[in-house]
Amino acid sequence: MDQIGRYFAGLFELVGRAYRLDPVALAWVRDQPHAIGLAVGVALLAGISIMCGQAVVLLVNRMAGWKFGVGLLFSGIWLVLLHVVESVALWALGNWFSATHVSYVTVLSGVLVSMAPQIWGFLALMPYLGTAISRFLSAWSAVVLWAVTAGTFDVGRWPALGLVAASWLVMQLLSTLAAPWISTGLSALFERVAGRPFWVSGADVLNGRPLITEEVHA
Amino acid sequence: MILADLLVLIGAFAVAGMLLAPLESLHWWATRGIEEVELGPAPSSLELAASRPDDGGPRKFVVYLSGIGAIGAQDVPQEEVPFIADLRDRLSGYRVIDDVFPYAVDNRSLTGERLLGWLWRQLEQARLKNPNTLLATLINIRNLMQLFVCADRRYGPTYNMGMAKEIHRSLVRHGHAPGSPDEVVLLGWSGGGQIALGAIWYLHAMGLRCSLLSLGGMLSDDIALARTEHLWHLYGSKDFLQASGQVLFAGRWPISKASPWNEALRDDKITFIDLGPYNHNVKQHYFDYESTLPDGRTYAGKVVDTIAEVLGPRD
Repeated sequence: MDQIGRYFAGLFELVGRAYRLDPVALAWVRDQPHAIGLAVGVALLAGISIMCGQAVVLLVNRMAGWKFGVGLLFSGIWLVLLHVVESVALWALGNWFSATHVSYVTVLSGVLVSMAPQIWGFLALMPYLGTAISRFLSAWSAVVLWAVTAGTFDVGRWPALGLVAASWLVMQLLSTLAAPWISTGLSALFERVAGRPFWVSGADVLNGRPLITEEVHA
Repeated sequence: MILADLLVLIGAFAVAGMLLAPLESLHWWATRGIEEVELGPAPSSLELAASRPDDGGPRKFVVYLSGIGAIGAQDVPQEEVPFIADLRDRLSGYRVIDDVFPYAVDNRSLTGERLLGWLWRQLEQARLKNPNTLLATLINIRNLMQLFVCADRRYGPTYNMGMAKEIHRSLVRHGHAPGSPDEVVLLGWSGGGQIALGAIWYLHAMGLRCSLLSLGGMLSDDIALARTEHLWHLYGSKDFLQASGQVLFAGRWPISKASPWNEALRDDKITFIDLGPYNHNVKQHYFDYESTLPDGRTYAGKVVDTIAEVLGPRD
């Protein structure tokens, strides 16, 4: 019980340090008994929150019960994959640029900790303001990663910004190139399981014209 | 200290309210939305009889959508009742419809069978006793959240589909024959302006050509502007609530060149009509039959005159 209490105290301390853009947050984590566990905890909280924020896509697609759960799981896996790619790119670029050898786990911890602002990701559900909040949180996460990267590779502020931007670009490239393939695959899977097409977003429901004309001609 | 705690509590309630706001329309969509939109109830024999035009020509409709103070389709703030009656008298060529509640996708009034129905009934009673009671602002806040749901590009499609369905049903109830080239003007007051605008996308898909009369409406840069025949925005120079639309909705900023709003402006689809020194509410507002303007007309009288003028050439 005591250990759980200490874990959560450490978790909140880490989140607080991330919000304050503490460049030595990672060094502080490494000294903790459950170092990677704390970083994973931050990412887990953020992931759950982001998933809640994205639940609207699933609700628009009339997914409930186990399908809703599986949908959230798929979204979660995609999110983890993107951040793993980002951390690998950052690790490779950072070690090459700084000519040091920082372990991958350290860089991965930094990427996970940088997700701390996304703990508020559920606010994306807010009507109208949600999209702007979501973008703001993404930008805040990028700033946290910038601060953490500067401390991790000890390269100074501006080179750290360049490293974060480059790894972010790699992640976005993967997202842009692979997302349509994954989306098509998931849509086909959904159609096979549910027996009806998958509307990717609320905006796609706008193409519901055939449904409406059916009503008119009924 | 207590004040700070109170503010935090109010803030938490406001955030919770905003988070919960889209659930009603999403739940409708997730449980019965598609079925209702796909099938639609078969019109009754009475409705079919009503939908046969007597003279064979197209009919003209004005659909009135109330502001965020409404509790149900016809349970609107008292001040709007004489205004609607006045519209019926003046717009003789039009059928004026007022049986659509713009803040629920299934046209269910707040006091109907709902989880919080008891709360809205209490507030309705309180408002009947004192129209200016502060508690009644809860109704406004609840409906304002639905306005944001309507304007949201993620939630709007399902919300607007439900609203279009209800408007279409109402038109059929009042004599519209589906498929006929009837003329439809949506008249949205305050928040009803945005709800009307959102619904036009789907009403157009149903084969209806719709125009919009916004009365002090809080309008967003809705994509439905592309499918709107024309938008007349009637506003008062002292009405800061309608003016807040151009600040709140980024698509209305001049820098958003490619937004639906600015495209509609370029296409001359939007006409702004300055009514004079009108407030949004309290006094000297759009429904005020007591205060008079320098020309001797009442504030509400001038609004009705202006609407009649706008729709006049169509008679």
